[in-house]
Amino acid sequence: MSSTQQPQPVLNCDDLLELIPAYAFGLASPKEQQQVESGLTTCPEATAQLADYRRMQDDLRESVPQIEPPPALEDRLMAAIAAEPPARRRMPQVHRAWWAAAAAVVALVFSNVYWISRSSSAPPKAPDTNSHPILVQGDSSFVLTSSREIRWVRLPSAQKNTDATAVLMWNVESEIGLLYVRGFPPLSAGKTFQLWLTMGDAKLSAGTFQVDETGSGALLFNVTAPIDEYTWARITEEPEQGSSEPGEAVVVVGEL
Amino acid sequence: MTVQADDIDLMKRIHRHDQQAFRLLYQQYGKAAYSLAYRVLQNTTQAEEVTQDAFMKVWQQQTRWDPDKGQLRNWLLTITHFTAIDRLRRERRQPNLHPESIEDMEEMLSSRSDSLWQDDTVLRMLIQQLPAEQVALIDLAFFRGMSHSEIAAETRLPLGTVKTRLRSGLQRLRELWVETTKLPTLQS
Repeated sequence: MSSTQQPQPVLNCDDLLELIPAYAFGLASPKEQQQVESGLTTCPEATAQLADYRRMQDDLRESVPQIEPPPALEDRLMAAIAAEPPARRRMPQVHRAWWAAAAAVVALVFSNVYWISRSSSAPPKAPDTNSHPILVQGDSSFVLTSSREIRWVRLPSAQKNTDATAVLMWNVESEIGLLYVRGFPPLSAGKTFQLWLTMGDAKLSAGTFQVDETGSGALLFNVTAPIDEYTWARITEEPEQGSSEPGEAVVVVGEL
Repeated sequence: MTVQADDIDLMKRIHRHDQQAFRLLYQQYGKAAYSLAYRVLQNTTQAEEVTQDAFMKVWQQQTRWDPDKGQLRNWLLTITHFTAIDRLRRERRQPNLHPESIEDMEEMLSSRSDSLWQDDTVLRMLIQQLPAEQVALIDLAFFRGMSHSEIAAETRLPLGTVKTRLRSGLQRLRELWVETTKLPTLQS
């Protein structure tokens, strides 16, 4: 392990404040970056100053002289997008095995979820002839169509020094998705994990789930709009019955 | 609808591959993005290319806007800024900035002030209250994307001096900015 990956001692607030300008402007060394990121939670003034610098940077970008771009630029840009439809994140080959493992865990975690391959003799719903494995939980089903139509995103840990990670998978334009988590911390008594999806200013609950003794768990969820339309996902620890709004204990969070 | 609600709707349409929505996005924010790219690159052809690259990143959804984290305009300008800095670094050149010393740079920035800052902006007023040498260093760090050591090489100042002066300049600029933006008469 290189020296830059060693945990750095937490700085006191005064020392931290000295590093904030360089950190905000991308001038801090890797060691200083780590010190700032470790110390922000214990120094509210540093967090506030960092927010000031971010807003000031927005103002700096707005303070440049305004120049009309060449009229042809708009036409070139429109021609460029017409020639290149928006690319969406697709499931790379390397992740297919991982996906299969995730799906298998779903089958283990949920007693009312069934993992049925195309070779199964009795699928609960007739799958499309082009479809791949199907997962069913209650009235919801998640069918893997071709890999081109699968979207997925990894949600990294929101906290330092944890291995918690999660993967969300869904089919294009579908409201049904599959969540698989691993490395999650054990839940306290009376607690559950809750998945939230963000659309605009709203954070909508997509369901609650537990994890096993290894920190792995899964959730087949069904939301009201195509998952493509949500922008962020996060998982929080909440009271056992679930919450109406996400609390502070965020385990993983990421952009969709 | 508020600007934020309009922007959320616009980005939803773009995520659905609506080309007309994308044209609207460019018409609303293209000028600000191009102006920022030109400020960084000081070259019209490269500013065009960087503006196009930045908007293509939005179309290709290489990054997604989170309304919780700020305005669409600021997000787009941040993408444009980073794209322009990447372009500068890739070409390993600094546009129109080959001064012999920090003093030359101060003089150049002072003489070209009108072309570097928009009239009547709070930041322009605040920048003018800082020592010229600190303004020069902030300009190199923010608009040229230079590291401490690159600035030291460019200005021929000791590395420690660059770090100290830049930190002092940024701290002072933040103090002035916070004081000013808290005054209602100047916020508009």
